[in-house]
Amino acid sequence: MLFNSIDFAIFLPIVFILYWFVTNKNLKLQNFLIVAASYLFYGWWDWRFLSLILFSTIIDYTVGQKLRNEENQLRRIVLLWTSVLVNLGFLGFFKYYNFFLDNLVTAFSFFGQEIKGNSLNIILPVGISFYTFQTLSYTIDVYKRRLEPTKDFIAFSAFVSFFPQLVAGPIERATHLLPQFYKKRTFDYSKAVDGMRQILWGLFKKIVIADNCAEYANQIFNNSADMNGSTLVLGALFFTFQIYGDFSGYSDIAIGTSRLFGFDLMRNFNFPYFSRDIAEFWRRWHISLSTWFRDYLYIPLGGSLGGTWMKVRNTFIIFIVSGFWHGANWTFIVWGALNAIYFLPLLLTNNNRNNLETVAKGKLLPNLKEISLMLLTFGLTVFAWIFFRAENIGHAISYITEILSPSLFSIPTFSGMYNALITIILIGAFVLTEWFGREGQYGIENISLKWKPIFRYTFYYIIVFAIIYFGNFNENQFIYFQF
Amino acid sequence: MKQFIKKVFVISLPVFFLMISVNYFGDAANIFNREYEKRMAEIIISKSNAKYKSNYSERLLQKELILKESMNYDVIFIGSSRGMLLTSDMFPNSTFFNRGVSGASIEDLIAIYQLCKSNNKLPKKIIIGIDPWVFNDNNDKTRWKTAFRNEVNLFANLPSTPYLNIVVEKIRELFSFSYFQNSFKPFIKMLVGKREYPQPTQTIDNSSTLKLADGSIWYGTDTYRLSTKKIDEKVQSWLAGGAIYGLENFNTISNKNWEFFKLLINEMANNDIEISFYMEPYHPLIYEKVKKTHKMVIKTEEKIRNYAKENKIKIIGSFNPSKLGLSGNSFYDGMHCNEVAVKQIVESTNAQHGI
Repeated sequence: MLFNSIDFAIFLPIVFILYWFVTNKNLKLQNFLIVAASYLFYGWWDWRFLSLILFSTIIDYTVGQKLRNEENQLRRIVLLWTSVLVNLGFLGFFKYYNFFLDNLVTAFSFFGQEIKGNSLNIILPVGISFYTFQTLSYTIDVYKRRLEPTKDFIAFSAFVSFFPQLVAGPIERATHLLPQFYKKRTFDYSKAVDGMRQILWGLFKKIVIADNCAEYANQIFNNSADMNGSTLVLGALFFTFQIYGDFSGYSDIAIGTSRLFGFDLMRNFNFPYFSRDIAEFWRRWHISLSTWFRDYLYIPLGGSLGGTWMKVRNTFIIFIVSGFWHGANWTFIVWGALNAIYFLPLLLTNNNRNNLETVAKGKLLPNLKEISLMLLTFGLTVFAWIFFRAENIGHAISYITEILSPSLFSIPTFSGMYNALITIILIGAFVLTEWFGREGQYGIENISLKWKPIFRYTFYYIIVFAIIYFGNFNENQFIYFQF
Repeated sequence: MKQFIKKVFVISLPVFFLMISVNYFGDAANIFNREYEKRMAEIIISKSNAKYKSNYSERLLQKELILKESMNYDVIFIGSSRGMLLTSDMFPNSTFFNRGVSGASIEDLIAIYQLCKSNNKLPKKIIIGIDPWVFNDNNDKTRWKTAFRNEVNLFANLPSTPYLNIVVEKIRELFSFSYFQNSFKPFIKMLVGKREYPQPTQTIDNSSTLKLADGSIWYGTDTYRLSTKKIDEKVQSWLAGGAIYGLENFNTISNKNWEFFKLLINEMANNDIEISFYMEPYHPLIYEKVKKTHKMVIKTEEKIRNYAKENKIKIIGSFNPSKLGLSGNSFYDGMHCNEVAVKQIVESTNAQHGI
């Protein structure tokens, strides 16, 4: 079920009413309702893959129970690896099987050996990378004794399948989300109102910004061979706003929806396009995944504590694995490696933690230096997104080659330029709103709160009107579902 | 909790109110109000040209016309906008009416024929516009459903659409976001008292869009006489947009549509109607792409030609512009010939057949 669908608009109020009016007196029943609603939410897409979630849930719950009383270190390791192998096994099979097979065949043929490999027609289960990492965090934390294993199977199932963030995150840590299923939730009016506001902003980002940008980004990337350099630059910019609006919009809707049910999810985006360097960008982009890799991969590998070689190695590992997490394609690996190359100079010169505060905090406008740094970081990010969006490496290279040709200075030409102009104006309004709201948790959290109600509601109605009038209602999937 | 629900409800009310008002009164496709089509039909029946600016339902107009007009025509055209420049002066010894509707699918062809039959308005001759997408299962054409469900069902001996379904669909349109987007401007025009209805005119000027008294369309020579460079640019930009209109995922000739098509031809033949096929060419640049990536278009033409030969049906035109000696300046966009080229196509076919 998509957040931007009529189905979800009907589903959400029904679950909300059942949750607060029917099951509110019994915590177990309330958690059970969450599990049932989450399975319905997921099964709406393809019920067959519910068995994968259920299987992962049972495995990790059982491993958690076994780890509770197991003192033998070797057995504890075996239990941990059972969970890791089962979860990553599913992920590897559904997501990476064909990639590895194709590359193996190519590698052999490069050395003059012909081997036969039968690719499988595998459907990638929606959100598998998200819930796999979420359940893994539970087992690893229990193994490391950072978390007491739960005895409550229903609460654990609800944690694994919690519908607002099941298919595209934020990837929650068990230490943060699971305890929220143990406590009785009471309805918090201001939290719910804030949740509604965040949902509204998420819908604006997704339906108005991302889906309109997608029309042009797809058109330009899919026909890039026929486009001139300036059009390709526009295509890359459209994709830059598409992916941000799409993914951060999803996160906003997920967090806002959770708040309606009394849950707090972790923040996933913190205005990344206002970053002054790449290190800051990665502290602000897909925070739940970056911190997951930091805690469960980078730090165990030694982090940045070792010598230069170790720093370089660990940086490349974390960025390349992060790229590969997004998809079984060399384009994602190159995208990850490119970000590692951007990041390394900052790390090696100890400049990776220069910009921890929000840019121009407490000020209306940034200074010239801040503007230059933001533009430079934004430019590097846009360049990297070309690899992320391209069909393959060859496509990305020809795309960039055309950008660097004299056609860069010709007038952009593509179908629907008048409507694209409207989208560009909307992007401008969106960037301005996010700029003024950059010290909040999301774009419009603090904007208008001190205004008189008449102005505040006018502001909200303008957003609603923009969604209805300028929105793209083709019920486009969220990009990150495919990861 | 109750306060929250009440607040959400109260805040949502104006949104729903605005949406319903805009969709109902703005009514871009005249779903709730057929006044526009009725007025246009009256103008055409009175043998005037209708000058118009806004969108209207061409299907509903045909329905109005067939129900209300008193005369039977000798020759009619049924097909898409690609045949809408066929005019009565191309058929000098007969009465002619153009019943083309934009993006016509097999269901549109069937429905217009069925409407004529049910209202005793069958002509002596029908020119059927052949468009490749008619035989594409993935053409995504559903506009016929807005007006022609019952006619299609009647032709195929299917039960007619229950009234309740039609009401439910209309209610859905009241809450449709995309309908809101289309209806907003007409709604504002209505609010400021500037809602435009079609106007009768006897003159044909160069810049107005007209539905002529013979059912054909006139976009004005300003549209038809673009420079070759401008047309090429228009076509190039259109090509850059991706797939060619109606030909997305056209991988095989639809069995279902082909059977329907044959059924329609048989039905016409059984009613002693003379049939011709009209195939309007594509712009040379589009046809180049067709040859490379949309080979089903060429296969469709072959199949139609074989079928026409077997059944002794006359063919006017071809999808291939070079077969007809047409170059880029015979078109006003990628898939529509200008009026001079259409006349040339019809006259050369008539000459071949000694008409």
